Amino acid sequence: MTDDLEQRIRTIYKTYYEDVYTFLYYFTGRREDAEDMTQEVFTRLLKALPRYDGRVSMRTWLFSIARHAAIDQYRKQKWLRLFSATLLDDMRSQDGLPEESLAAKEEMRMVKEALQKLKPHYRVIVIVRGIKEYSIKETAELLHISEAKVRVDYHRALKMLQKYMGGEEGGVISEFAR
Amino acid sequence: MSLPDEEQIEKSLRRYRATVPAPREEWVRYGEEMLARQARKMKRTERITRVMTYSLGTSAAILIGVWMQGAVTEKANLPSTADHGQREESAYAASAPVQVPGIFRSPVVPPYSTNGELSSDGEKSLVLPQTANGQGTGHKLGIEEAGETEEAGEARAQRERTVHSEEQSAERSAAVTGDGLSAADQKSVSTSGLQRQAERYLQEKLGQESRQYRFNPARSRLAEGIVAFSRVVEGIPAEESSLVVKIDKGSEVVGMEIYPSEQHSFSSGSAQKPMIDQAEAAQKLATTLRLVYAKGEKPVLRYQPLQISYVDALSGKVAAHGSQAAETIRVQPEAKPLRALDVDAASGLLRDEFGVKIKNGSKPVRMINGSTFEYLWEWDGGKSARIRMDKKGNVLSFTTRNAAAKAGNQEIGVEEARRIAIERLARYLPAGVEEIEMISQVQDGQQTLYRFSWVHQGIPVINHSFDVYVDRTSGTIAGMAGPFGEALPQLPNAKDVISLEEAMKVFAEKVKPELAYRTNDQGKTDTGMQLVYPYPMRNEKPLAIDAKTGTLIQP
Repeated sequence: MTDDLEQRIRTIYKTYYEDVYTFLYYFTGRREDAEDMTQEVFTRLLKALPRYDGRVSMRTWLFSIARHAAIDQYRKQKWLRLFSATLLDDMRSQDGLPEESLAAKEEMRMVKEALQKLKPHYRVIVIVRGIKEYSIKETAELLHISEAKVRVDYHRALKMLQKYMGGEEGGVISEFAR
Repeated sequence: MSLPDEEQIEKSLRRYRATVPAPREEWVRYGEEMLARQARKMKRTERITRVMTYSLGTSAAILIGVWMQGAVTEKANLPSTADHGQREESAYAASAPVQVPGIFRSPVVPPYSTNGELSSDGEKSLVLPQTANGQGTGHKLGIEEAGETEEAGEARAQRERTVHSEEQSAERSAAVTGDGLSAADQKSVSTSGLQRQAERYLQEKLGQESRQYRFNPARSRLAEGIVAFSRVVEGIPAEESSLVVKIDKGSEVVGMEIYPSEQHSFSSGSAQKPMIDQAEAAQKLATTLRLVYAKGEKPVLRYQPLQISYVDALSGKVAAHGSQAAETIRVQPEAKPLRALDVDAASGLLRDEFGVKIKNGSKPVRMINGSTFEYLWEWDGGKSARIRMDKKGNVLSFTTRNAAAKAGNQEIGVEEARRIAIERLARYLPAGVEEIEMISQVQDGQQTLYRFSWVHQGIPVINHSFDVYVDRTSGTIAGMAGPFGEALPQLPNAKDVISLEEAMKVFAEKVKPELAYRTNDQGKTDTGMQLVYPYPMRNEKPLAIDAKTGTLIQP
């Protein structure tokens, strides 16, 4: 174990906190959960840090831990109702006229709910590819899957989102899309 | 009411990106302090363990020494009838236990290195065990502030430089020998060990269900500890991995991930019967071979496909992943350097060379991996620019993202985009690259990725490819990747090589492709699985034929 472990973990924390937190926020849809899980991710990282061998980049490694933490959490809590009235509470308001702001907020609520309905693997792929806009190649590298699989799974995930967003609520998204 | 289309959903996802609430400041600070405390605790525990281990080792040594001395003294005090020779023999016998393995060997490692250098806190540093590829287990991080050593950075740089050098670095790490085993032996021992460990882990976690999965050597990356398994239906596995077990360098399982995508497509009773056999499939796959230079520490000539292909087991038709074009393109390289050593130079280069206007005041995140570093800017909730350099500042890649294109914007055609890609690439190609070949063209949202391989005297050089992203709504370069600052390698003479026909014959005789189900990724349909004979691969690299000797190369 090197002597600068404390300094190293501080540096990593500062560098990657936001990346990990935003990923987990998209995954869980809740700020509190994302904050807790981000802490959990860095704690797991710290324990494994002395064994870090540099075979993968720190970002990839952290993302891998975050993904596992998210999936573990999903398994623990899948029996819970994930959607609650508090979902909108922590959402930033959008600029613009009140009507537009409301419409945009409604659209975001639907995206958020639909995302939460996806299975973890599909959710991760939508977050990385659709929200964070990594290229197919980058997504494949990050998720350790082939580029073909990224394309197929992302396409499938979008189809599911399409169903969730347009099905029960009757295609509200179409009205807001510009 | 109609369903929203995919484009609308993607736009919504991009807008959703900006809705993340900031984490609470106090929570972030608290988290950092908690981690720092945990780090200090770990360090204390480690010190105590080391001191205790050292103390125990020293005590054991002293006790044995005392015992040995006692024995010698006893012998020395024997009546003078014992001759000199006998005394020596007794002393030798008494000293023997000191040499018994296990007393002074690990785990009783004294807390100092063989060179006796003191570490920064006054304690002598512990010599960490070396692994097969020569890396200690106590690596420092790929973060600038971690103070990475030159050697460690260089070693990792070899592994991480770019995707183009992936094969090269894997070969290098496998070639290093440590304890008398040949590189091949070590590789085989460690890889089969990883496979067995992953299988045991699966058995433990999934029980009987683990029998539904089979080790997939093609999709595994054993050098990185990634062991892939494919789901098996009626004896036939999926071509892609269905789950992955990750094992770290300390031989601990980091986690398992199950990919659910095939599950709904697979069902018992849906098995198909192949219309062609292995031998016929091998002959068809052999037609995809091409003579190539494989760039490594020592470039070699091989026969292997440029694109990974497969044979449809029902129709016998050969197909390749992605599009393929074999046309050689002549270029006039301008060898304009792409170099930036700091953030201002990087943003200036993006602006001046590629017209990327990073928003004023937008602060980049700097990330360092080994001896490569990158800057990432994000602004206006959807625009981003990322640029990565090696330690000398040579650009390895850059990508840019614009917010969704405005409706009604006319896209340029594929041919026009390709022309732009070639024209701009030529500006930065190193001198000596006179021909290139487009090996793939992939649509990625509003961008099209063109991948070009360097062609030397009519032979493509694999692992020396250049990616160019063209934004088809603006007709601009949205990204590039490749070994721009790298000197061109010396390539071997291509005269004494076996013919393509001979290589095809070897391949057809020695290779037995196996059936697999692959996900149909053509177009936008979701039609389930296709029965195929995939081109055989290991560790995500294709089997090849050595063009000089005609032997089969198992990656």
